[in-house]
Amino acid sequence: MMAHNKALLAAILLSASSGSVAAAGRAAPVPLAPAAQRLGTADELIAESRRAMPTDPVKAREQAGAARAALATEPPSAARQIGIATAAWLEGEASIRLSELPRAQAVILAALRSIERAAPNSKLHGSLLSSRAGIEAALGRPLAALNDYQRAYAIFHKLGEARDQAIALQNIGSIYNDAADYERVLYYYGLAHDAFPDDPILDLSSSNNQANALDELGRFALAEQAYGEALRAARRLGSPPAEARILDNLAQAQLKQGHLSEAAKTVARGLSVARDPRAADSIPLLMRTAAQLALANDRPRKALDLVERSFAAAGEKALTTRYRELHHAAYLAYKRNGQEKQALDHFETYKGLSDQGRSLAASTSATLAAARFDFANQNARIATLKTGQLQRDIALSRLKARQLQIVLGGLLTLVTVVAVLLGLYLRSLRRSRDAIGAVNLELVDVNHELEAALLAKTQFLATTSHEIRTPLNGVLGMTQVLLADPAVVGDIRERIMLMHKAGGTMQRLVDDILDSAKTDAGSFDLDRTFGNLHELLSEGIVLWRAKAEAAGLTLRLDIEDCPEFIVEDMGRLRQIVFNIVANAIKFTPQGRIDVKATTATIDGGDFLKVIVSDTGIGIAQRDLGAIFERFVQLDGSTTRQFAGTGLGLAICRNLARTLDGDVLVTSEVGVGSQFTVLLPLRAAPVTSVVSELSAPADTLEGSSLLIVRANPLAQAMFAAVLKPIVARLAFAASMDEAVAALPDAGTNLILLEGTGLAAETGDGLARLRDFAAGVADQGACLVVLWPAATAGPGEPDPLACGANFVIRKPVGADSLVAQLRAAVSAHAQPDALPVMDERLDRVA
Amino acid sequence: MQILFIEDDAMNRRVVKDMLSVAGIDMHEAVDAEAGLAMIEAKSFDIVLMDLRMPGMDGLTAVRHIRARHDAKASVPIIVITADSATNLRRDCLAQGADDMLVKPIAMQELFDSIGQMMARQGGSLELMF
Repeated sequence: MMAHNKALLAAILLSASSGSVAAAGRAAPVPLAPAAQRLGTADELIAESRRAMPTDPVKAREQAGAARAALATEPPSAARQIGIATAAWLEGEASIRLSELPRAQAVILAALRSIERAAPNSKLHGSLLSSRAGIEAALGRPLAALNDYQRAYAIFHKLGEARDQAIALQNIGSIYNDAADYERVLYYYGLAHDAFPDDPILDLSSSNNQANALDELGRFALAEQAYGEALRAARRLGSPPAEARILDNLAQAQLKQGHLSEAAKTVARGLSVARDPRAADSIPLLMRTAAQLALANDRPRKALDLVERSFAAAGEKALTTRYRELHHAAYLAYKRNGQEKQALDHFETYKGLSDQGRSLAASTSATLAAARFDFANQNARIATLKTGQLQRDIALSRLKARQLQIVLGGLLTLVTVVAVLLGLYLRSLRRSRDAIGAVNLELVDVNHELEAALLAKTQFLATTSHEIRTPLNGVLGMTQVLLADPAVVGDIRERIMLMHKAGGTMQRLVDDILDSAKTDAGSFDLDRTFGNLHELLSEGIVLWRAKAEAAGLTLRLDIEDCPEFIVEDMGRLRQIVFNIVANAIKFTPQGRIDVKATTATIDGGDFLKVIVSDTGIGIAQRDLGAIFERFVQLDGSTTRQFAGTGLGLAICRNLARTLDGDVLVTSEVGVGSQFTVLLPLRAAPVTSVVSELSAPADTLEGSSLLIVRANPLAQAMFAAVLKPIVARLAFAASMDEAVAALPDAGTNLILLEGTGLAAETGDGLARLRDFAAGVADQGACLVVLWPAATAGPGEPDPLACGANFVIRKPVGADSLVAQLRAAVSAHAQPDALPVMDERLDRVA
Repeated sequence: MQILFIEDDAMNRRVVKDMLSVAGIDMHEAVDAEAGLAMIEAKSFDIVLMDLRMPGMDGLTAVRHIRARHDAKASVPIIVITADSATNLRRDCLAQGADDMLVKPIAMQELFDSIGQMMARQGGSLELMF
């Protein structure tokens, strides 16, 4: 699609431009007859070159070359220079068509240099800029291309050349097409149509491209309309190749919508149009569409046949991006026919071509976003300077106004002079006030620009950050897997940990940036649940304490005065507090950091306060507002020392405000800072609190359970079933680890996975005996999961080794819970009558 | 335990395959939605992991197809995996029939926790897992 459109546009450019020697040289004095005759010959060669260009670029290039040679023998003159530039332009255009970009580039650049001297801002100049832009686009430099197209547009606009303006706008649209920015594609092609309507060639191109963009955007009904218009234009032009190509695009859109019979009719029309040899190029594409139709109609053999014929017709071209979809159709067709190897080969090719396309689109759009961001950034810098300047102007005007008022007051005592002077001074006062007013208006404009710049920055970063997540998955996925392998030790483990930490930092930066973009757009999911504030803060502090101590700081937590249970978006709360603590650690070279959570009543409302105080470098009064702004780190010199995006505090405050709260700060330079997170306190529903606190210790609900099982997935499953029920849940990977963990936290119930032990004899059971003895010393209850009884005697008996209870596997979640419950209550009341339950084995 | 991952990118498939190996599980894989649906037709799985963006049929459409089945396989737990963090994406996925959503880069423990939750919900025999 791309190459076709470009070729079409190039043809348009050529036929539209009037870069003939005579026209361009009108301004300069025309030399006398003999030279004019030779120029005339060159003119003829140039005219022939133009004619040959659409169909025979080789010939066109030869003739342009000949024209240049003819002109080279002329005495230097403006007309000669323009003539040479024109011939060079034609040579360049021909080389572009022949895909010889370096050669085209050399010739076009030389011609540009020459035309900039001889006839700047002429139509030929515009055409040369357009040619250079086309080369730059083909070389993957969309920014340079855009720049040149825009300059060309400006020239044509000034000259009032409406048609060339329209062409330049279409070219800009095609750059955005490469970046897959389809809204802009629609915009620019629409502008182009308005600039010069009712031109069949231009209409053809704009309708076709707008239709494709609408198709990509999923607006199929409008896309079909636009294809219809494109078809009409193609017919008016009498161009079978264009018609066939558009019919294929239309069939694809219909296929996507599931209108299979319509799509079939369109393909048939396309194939009949493509009988014209000029449209032969479209046949492979139409065959691809027909194959896809056959698959959709559940006729795999027919599809395979069509695919094979299509590849035969395509030949070498089958490995270009345009044939990407054909490879996917081939993959499906071969698969449906049971030919796995061919299917996979085509799938790999398809993936390869897709990745090229995606990365091209991604890098183009990233480049464009970066450009918009740069441009907006420059504006922002100018705006900031202006703001500073304007503020100074306001201050000055105010000062002047005040001075005048003082003078005025003094003069009131002189009666005769007053009347005259009053008039004069009042006029000056008004002028100062008007000046202040005008300056204020400018400030409003400048603020808008600053906002726009900020938005552009955020959007650019959000786009890039999202793309980074996928490769990050590869990096962090593998570091996690490697670190989970106990065989990885020593230096290798350290190196992998370093990679893992670095990856984690990247992830946090990416998340920060994306969060920032979301707060901008005002779109946020809030997830308010019942949560344990004490747990959140204590667990968090444990994480941060290590980092703080590594930096030589002490980190303290005070949660005496704060409620244990609250209703809030716990994830966001964690984000806010942790960001602030991280910030405190970053900017505190020595001393301590205190985190205190408490409540307060302000204006009759109850609030939760989390106060983070540090003995850090402090913040100057005038900067207290700025630290919450995005991308700001105080004093550029601190940036390298305190690396980061500068997003943390801005996000904190935005998040807090989204939760109907705020973040406040007080500080003193050289002494330290105090950040206060203020959030409305939502009372936790009483019933949930009560159930958490009042479970007696001799029930399952009041128990502290330790599960001995190494497999992390098994751990997750047990957690899913048991964590909601018991008071405390911990895991140990082996009996040895469990023994070490036993004295802590009043573990009263242990669940041991016994399958491994059951397989061993002798040694395994001895370990079980020792373990059971240790458990009994603590007064805890040992429950063993044991595989279902196989044969009769000779089978090891866990109860004989000291286990209190045995649960047979396989066991369902509900049954497991019930048996554990029974085990706990029976263990607590050993003198109670035994419970008659065939599933329970119990010590007599 | 039989787990199927439907994902077109070989790197992402490898990451999850290796993570599940840590838990001793041999993962089954499909390179696109069509192949995945065919595998589900042929075999029973305990969990299906689904990428969202794939060429051809996309992830959510595949989820709908699974839920539209008239047999027990229609209620297989499905966990969607995506790099997208669009607001309300989680809600949309759940509304279309997914049981949970994980965001890339994947945290291994979160993957296990999610699978653990799915199996616990099933209520059935925990023995199936290992």
